[in-house]
Amino acid sequence: MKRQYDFKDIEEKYLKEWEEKEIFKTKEIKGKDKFYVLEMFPYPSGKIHMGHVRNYAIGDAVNRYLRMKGKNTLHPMGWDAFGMPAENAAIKSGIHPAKWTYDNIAYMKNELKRLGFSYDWSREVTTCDPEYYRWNQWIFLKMYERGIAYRKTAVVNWCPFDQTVLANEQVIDGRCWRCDTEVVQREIPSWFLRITDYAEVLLEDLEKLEGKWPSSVITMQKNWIGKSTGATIKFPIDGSTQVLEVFTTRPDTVFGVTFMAVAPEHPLIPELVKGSDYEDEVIGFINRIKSLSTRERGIVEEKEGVFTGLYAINPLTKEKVPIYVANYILWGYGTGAIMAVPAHDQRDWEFAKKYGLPIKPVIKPVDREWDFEKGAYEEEGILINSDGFDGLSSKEAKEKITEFIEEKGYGYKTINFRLRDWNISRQRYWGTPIPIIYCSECGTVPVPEEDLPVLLPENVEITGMGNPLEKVEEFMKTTCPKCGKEARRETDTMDTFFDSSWYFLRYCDAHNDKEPFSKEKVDYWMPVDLYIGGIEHAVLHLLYARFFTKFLHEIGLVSISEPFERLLTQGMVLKKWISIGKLLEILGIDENVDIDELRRKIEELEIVKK
Amino acid sequence: MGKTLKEFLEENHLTLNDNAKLLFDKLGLPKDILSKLEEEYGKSDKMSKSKHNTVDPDEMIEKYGADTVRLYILFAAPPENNFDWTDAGVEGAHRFLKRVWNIILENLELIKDVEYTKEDFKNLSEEDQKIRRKLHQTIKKVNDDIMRNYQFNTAIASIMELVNELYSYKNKSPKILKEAFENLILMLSPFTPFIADELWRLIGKEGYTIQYPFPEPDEEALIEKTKEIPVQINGKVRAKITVPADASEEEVIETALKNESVKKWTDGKQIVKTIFIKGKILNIVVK
Ligand SMILES: [Zn+2]
Ligand SMILES: [Zn+2]
Repeated sequence: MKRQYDFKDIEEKYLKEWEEKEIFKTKEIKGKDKFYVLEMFPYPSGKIHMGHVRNYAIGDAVNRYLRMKGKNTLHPMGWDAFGMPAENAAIKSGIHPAKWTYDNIAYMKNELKRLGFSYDWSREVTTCDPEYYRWNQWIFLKMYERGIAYRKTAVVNWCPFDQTVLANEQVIDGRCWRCDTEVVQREIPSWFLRITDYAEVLLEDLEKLEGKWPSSVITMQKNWIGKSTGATIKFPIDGSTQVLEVFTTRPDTVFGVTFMAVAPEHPLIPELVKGSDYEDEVIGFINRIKSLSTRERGIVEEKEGVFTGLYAINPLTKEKVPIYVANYILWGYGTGAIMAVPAHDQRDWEFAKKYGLPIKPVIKPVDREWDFEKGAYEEEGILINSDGFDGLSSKEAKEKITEFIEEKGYGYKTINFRLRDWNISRQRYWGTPIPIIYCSECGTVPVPEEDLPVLLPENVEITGMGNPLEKVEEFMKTTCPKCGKEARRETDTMDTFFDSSWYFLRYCDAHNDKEPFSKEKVDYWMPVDLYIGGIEHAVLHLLYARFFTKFLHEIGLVSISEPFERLLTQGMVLKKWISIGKLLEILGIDENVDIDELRRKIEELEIVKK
Repeated sequence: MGKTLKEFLEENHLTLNDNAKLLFDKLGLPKDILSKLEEEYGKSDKMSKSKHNTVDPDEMIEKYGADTVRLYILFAAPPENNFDWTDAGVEGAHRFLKRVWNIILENLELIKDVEYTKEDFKNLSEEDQKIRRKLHQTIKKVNDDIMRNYQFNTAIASIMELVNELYSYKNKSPKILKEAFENLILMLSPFTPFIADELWRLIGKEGYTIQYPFPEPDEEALIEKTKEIPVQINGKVRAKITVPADASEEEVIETALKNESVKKWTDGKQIVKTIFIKGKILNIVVK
């Protein structure tokens, strides 16, 4: 009798054989064409889902095909293993994040093997392994040496009850996810990476990726970097020696300024209103806005503000215009202050309408009329009411007015980026400790390379109150590497996006204990020839990985300057479903139907369909 | 009078917005009715626990095997597109693998110890030529589709077509079947490596398919050597004749006029004119 297709038997047999014969192992072979195919490594959340299967099935077919076509391929897999879910599980069920993580990895690794994926498991990378994260710390120190890593204050979500910093996803409707206390904003010292130094090159090199990356991803990165050309203009404050600096991409509208608006965080305002009649109202407003969570600030619809009693002088018209503090101005973008032109900016227009401020048109459309009572005209056009610049097009006027401002010393041409420096500080346990020591004598001291890794202590209590590392005395207390006196360790850990910004390099040389990777091996395998993953990583992960590659190139560790030659963003696996309500609709009944009647109707359906 | 649905839902903490699957589970109703309803009336959504519309990979592997799951996922859509997971789809992929398995096992004795060289494929019958051409066209298409943006879905579809043609291949020349099966197995290897490796061993090969070169088309087999073209007499098709693919008008007319079915309509008549479209059709007008 002919044998039947017994898939279970067959699949189990070959899983064993493939593993024993190590047929998926790869090594560098000089002179042989290489191909590096990589799928974004998963977070070990517990079980794989169909989206993972699809992602990896695509990569596996590519790897197996190209192997058979004679390429020397690299196809590794690993785990993006640090992060919040492990810590949340610890808070909820008391299980240690390390155990939770490694148990999940073991389970999921088995699932991946069962699917027959042709990974070279000898190159497995697990980011919570000290053998990996010590090199995070090493790279951080290189960045610190070069001024790319630096410390400044950052605004965070703070739960006053738990005395802890909350991630955006832990703030639910402005309240703490654990205790429901209203979240406030707080400024704390944090570590940043100066990605903005690379803004220009990150933008420029997107051109090299045209046609190789999905154009939607390139566009998203462009928008995220957000380059804009304009002018910084200095508005003197009436009766003071201070000036209010603003950045504008529309210097052609400067003759239409009718008020100034500043962010509640702007440091000039409290100083200038001190002792005035306006002080109480202004400070009250500032405090109210600052107490909102970052997320709430992001979604305010209604524009609100308060007059400061102060006036600024438009350097071009010499007109005095009132200064308002407004909730729609964000600190951290541009200068935190704007020149408001209600005739040509809708947000300014709405604010002006609400507070009865004048609307002065200075641009008219080329080919139609515009009713400024109905809204702002935001497009470009021809200048009017602008002294010597009348009749110019917006495009010409932008250049001419910027030149004029520079000549007169009123300001200067400015290129601005939307991209901000990257705050990598997390006030949590399950991450890479930032290798910094604070000494009362020597100040901020980097941990010497030979002392790496700074190990994450295992013995912690994770309660959800405060940063767990602050309560581990044997971790906190240390000696200063410079003067030998008692000193304190940094307790912040790194954003897990740091871990995933260079893991693809570690696969090339996964067991190196002298350096993060050998240049020779990385130069052989890199760039990744095909990178496969979800579109949700279009901006952060892919931008950070590009940034790291450029930094590592600069310090001579890698030859390439872009990490991913081609990017494939795979589609989602969807599933159709119907609700109980929809089912009733199909059956033409409502919920008062008798259960037996319902059963009968459903079973009749089947007969109809057959 | 029994319980109403409303009472039943309340008892089971369900609402009208919940997935009907939960109600089917509670009432013990057949799943295939639900699948059909979902396919007909359902709303496509990202799989999520809260909507209860997830499909568990482990369960699918248990039920159909890893090869089927991999094949279905790659066949369902081009890699960059979304697709709806359906029971019918995964079952179709599974059926296809069974068909591959069966056709090779049914012919195992026939091909097992057979060896062939390209010389063996010189003077083939029309049917043999046709199936070889299909095989090498498929090899060409699979390579092209993968190299062009990893379009595995169309590559797999063409392999499926090849299997259909193999099922209707009557001549069963052992050498031709052997060549076809070897290449079929190797082409399946990147998608369904387990069944590929097992079949590889069953047809008498050693090692693992990933260690063998991926098939390349035999350019000569791609060339169509003979062609079947219809012959019309006064606008009606009266016969089909087989001629060399590059045959001239004179050659084709000569062959046509020797054909018995054509003779029936032309004998004793005068040929007014002929219209010939190379490789497509011959039209003869008689009086
Ligand atoms: Zn709280
Ligand atoms: Zn010191």
